[in-house]
Amino acid sequence: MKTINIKFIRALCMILALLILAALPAMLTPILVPKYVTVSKEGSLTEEYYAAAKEVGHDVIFIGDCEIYESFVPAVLWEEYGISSYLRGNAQQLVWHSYYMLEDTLRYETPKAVVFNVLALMYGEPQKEAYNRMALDGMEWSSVKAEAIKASMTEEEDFLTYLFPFFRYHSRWSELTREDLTYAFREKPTVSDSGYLMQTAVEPEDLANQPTPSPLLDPNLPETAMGYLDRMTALCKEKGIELILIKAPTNYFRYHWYDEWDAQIVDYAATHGLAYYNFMDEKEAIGLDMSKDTYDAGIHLNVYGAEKLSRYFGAILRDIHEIPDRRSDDAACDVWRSRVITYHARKADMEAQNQKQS
Amino acid sequence: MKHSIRIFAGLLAVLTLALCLIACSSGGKDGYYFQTNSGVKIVIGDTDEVVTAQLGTPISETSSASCGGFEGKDYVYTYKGFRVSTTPAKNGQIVCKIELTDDSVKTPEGVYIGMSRTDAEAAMKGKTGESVGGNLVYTADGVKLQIVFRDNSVAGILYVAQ
Repeated sequence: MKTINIKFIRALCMILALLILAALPAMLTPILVPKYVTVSKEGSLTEEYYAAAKEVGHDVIFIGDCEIYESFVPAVLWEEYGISSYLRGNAQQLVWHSYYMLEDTLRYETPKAVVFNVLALMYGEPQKEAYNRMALDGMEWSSVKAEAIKASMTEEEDFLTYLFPFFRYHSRWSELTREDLTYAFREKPTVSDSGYLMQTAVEPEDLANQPTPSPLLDPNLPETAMGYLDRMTALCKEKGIELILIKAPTNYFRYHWYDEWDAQIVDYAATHGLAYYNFMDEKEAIGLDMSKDTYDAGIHLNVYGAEKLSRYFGAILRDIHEIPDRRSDDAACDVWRSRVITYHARKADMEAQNQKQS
Repeated sequence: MKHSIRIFAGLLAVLTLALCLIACSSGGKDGYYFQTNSGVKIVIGDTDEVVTAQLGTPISETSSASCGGFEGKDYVYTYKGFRVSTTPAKNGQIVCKIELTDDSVKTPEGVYIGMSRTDAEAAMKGKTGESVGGNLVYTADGVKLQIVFRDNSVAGILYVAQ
C-alpha cells in the first residue's frame, strides 16, 4: 500500500510539474507582449475597435495607413455633421492588411461607406515584421485574422508565433518596463479617439530643404496591391457599401505619391464607378497651413490640420455621399457625447503638456 | 609519395579554409556598391560610420521619425552628386539607400546621370538585369541597382536593399 502511495505521489508530482511547465508560457505571455500604451501607441489601434463597435454602429469606416489615423477626427465628424465613424488604420498598414481589416470589420457591422487611403498601394510586398505585429496582434482571432497573417508575413516570420506570441516575445524579458507589468493583467487605457491618434505638436513643413523625390522606377502600382484593391472593391459591392478612395493632403519626399500612380487611380476609380478625392491639391480649400498644421515637417497632419480636413471631408460625405446625421438617435448621441468629451479632454491635456515642455 | 600526398592535402585544406574565410568576411559586400570620387566605398547595409566619419560634412541633412513611434530616426545626407539615406537597424544606423543626383559621379560600371540608354546598357553588359517599367534593375547579394531612364537617357541611379 505504501509503495503504491509513493508511486502515485511521484506520478502526481510529475504531472503537476509538466502542467506548470506547459502553462508557464501562457502565464508569461501577458507580461512579455508589448503593451503599446506610451511607446508605439499605434500598436493598440487594432484592438481598440472591438469595444467601440459594441457601443454604437458606424456609418463610415476609414481604412488605411498612418495617413488615415492622423488625418481624420471622428469626434469632429460627429460634432459638425452627426456622422458616426471609426478609423481602422495602422502604421504602414499595407493594402492586404486593409483588405482583411475590412473583412474583420464586417464581422461586427456593415457601414454605409468605406474610405480607403491609396498611399499604401505603392507597396507590393510585406515590408517589416514590426508593422505586421502592430496591425495584426491586436486583431480578434477568427479565420480572417489567420488569412491576414498568412498574407502579411515576411519571409522570416512564422505563423505559430502569432498563435503563441510567447515564442516571439520571450526574449523581451530583459527589456520589460513598468508598463509591461502594470498592464499585464489589467485593462489598458485607450490611446486613440475612435481610431484617431492625436498629435498636438507643431513642426512646420520645410519644402526648401526637403530633398526631391527619387525618380520613379515603375509607373504602375504593384499588381499584388491592385489585386487587393480589386478584392476590396468587390467585397464592398457585394455588401452594398460605397467604397470611396482618397489621398491625404500630405506628400513627403520619402513617401512620395507620384503623378503616374495618381493617374492610375483616377482611371481605376472611373472604371469601377468609385469616387476618388486627392486632397494634395486642395490644401487651400481645406484651409491647411503647413507651417502650423503638421507635427513632423509635413509627413502627417497634427490635430489642427486633421480637424480642418475632417470638416472639409465631412461636408462631402454628407452632401455627395448622403451619409446620415445621427444626432436624432438618442442611443448614438449618448455614446458620441462621451467620445467627444474624451477627445476634447485629451486634446486639452496634450496641449497643456506641450506648453509645459516649451 | 605518401608524404607528398599529405603535404598536398594539407595545403588544399589550408587553401579551402582561406577561401572560406575570404568568402565569409566579404559576405554582403559582393553586391553593387557606390564609390565616391575620393574613393570612399559605400555599401548598402554598412553602418553609418562610413557617412559620418569618411564622407565629411554633408551639404544638407534631413531627419524624420518612422511611423509607429520606433526608436531612432531616418536620415538623408546630401553630398555633391549623391545622397545617402540611413535607417535604424539591429546593428546600428545603417545605409539603406544611395542615390546619384548629377553627372559629377558615376557607378563603378561607368553609368552616370544624363548618359544615353545605349551607353548605359553597354556599360552594364554582362550583368543580368531585369526591365521594370521600362527601366533596368540589377540585383546581387541583396542589393538592387536601379537605373531609371527618361527620354532615353539616365535620369536616376539608385542603390537599395533587395
